[in-house]
Amino acid sequence: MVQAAAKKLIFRLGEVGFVLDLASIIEICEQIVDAVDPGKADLDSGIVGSLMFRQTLIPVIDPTLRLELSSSTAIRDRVALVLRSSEGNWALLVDKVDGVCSSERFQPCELPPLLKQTVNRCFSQVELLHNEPMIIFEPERYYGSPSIAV
Amino acid sequence: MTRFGLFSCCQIAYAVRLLQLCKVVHEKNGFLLPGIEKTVVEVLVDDGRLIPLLFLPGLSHGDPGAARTAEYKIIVESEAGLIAFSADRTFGVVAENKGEILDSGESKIAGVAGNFKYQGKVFNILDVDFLAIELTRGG
Repeated sequence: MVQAAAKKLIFRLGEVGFVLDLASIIEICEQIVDAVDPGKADLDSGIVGSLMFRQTLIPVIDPTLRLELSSSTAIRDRVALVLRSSEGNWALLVDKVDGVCSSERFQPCELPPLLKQTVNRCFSQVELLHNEPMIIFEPERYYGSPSIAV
Repeated sequence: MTRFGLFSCCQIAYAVRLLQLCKVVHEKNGFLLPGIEKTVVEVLVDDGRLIPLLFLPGLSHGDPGAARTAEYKIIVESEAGLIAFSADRTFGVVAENKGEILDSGESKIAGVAGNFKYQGKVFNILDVDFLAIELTRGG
């Protein structure tokens, strides 16, 4: 049986590119400005509010806080990726979704020892796409335990 | 005999030993990555490898934007791995005996191993191994 190649979603925070396994995404929500309630924010945990998703309130996490990246995208233009985790669904706030790409198009790239030590608090792996480093986004760094596909 | 690759950035002149000079790339754009130290301006991709582009000694408080858009990037090999510097002008390769090594006295700049005078211009000889370790770790 021929297996379909895994696909990855490419998104951006500021000018930095990230990739995420498509399988870990439940839904991509646009135009979320009225749907996010900032009343439930817990900025120490990176939670900037809550989002009503399929009749359930889920936390919205802005990774730019932890990564110390600046976003020039207005909140009304940002996109929420709803992800699953063992602790329930949650929403990841990103600036822009660039699209979906087959895993085969990414080229492995090792982090040089000179960078590894300092960037390790933010990420641990990168891949190259068209000679651009794309950070492999690790959801478990931001919310809950590693995702479990249902 | 020692040979130096000479270049300048924001009107400060630098020299690196030819044995450490890997490549000079022209108009190559780099990328920002989260978590890198402020002394790392951006990261270049060359031959599938990531190379940190460092602020040069003397330019530590300079504008990172200028370093990112510099015309040339000088890739050098340190004991700890490849690093790169920005340059807006290059002056080729010069043998040590064509110029003069100056005594830097007590006015030492961190990351500068000495000075090389060539055609009336003084070039800071970069201590590449020191800079690679200190600047990528936020020294």
